[in-house]
Amino acid sequence: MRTLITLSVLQTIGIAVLVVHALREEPHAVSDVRPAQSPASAPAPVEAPRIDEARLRAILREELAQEHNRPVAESLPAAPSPAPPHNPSAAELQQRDLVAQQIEAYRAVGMITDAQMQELQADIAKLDAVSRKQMLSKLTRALNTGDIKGRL
Amino acid sequence: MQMKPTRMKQGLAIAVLALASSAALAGLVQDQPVIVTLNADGSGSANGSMTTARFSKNDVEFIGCGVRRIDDGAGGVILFAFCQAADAVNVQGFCTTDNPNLIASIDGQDDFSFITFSWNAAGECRSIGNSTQSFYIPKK
Repeated sequence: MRTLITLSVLQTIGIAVLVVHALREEPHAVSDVRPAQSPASAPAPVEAPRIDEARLRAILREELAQEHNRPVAESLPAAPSPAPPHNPSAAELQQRDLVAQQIEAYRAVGMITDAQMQELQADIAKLDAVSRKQMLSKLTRALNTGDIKGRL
Repeated sequence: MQMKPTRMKQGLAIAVLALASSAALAGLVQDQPVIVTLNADGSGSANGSMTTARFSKNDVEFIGCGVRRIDDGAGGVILFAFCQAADAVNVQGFCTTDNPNLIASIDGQDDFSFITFSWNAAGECRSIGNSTQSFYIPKK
């Protein structure tokens, strides 16, 4: 345990020494370069940051270009694929049309009995999900407009 | 022993007053007749108390919601719910839904519920609500 603590302390001290050293070295590096250049050819004090900025811009451009060229599936997080749209079969469409005709027939009569309503709902239940929603809506609208008198 | 007519009248008056006062202490009672609103685009709303509708003086007013579970003939069961209402002059409103959350809200309805529901232009229920309060229970 003691050994571990000692090692940890030594490690911390080592890191601290390195940080201090790095901080001291940085200004020296800049000052070392400057005297080597003649005053005439020496770049203006703001030149160095400009170079960095240009380099940064170039890196950014490269990164953006890479991102742009990357396939969409690779760059986007995997989203759950939506369920493929269900195309009603010919039989399903025929069934839906039959129910629609029944509703129109009740509309022509102007009313529907409770027993007829139950039968109609049973027929609607056999439809595919999209058609079922359509036919329930058609029936409900006919009731709301008063075209068909009856109860659900 | 024979009671004098004046005494009898007094006794009767006291009895009537006693009955009247006990009725007045029955708690708050609030009638909520059915109201159906139909909009031009086909949407609408309805609300009203079950008991007010049931004991109204007409024979057309009603309100309620229900659930249908129907065998689809292919091994499955289709579930949908509906609400319907008619006001005192028989203006009627209906809606249907297969939204599980709206269907679940119907479970909270009972005999003494105030029911409210609304629908869109397609006749699909947009809201189904209820409020069960003592003041919707009819007078004894």
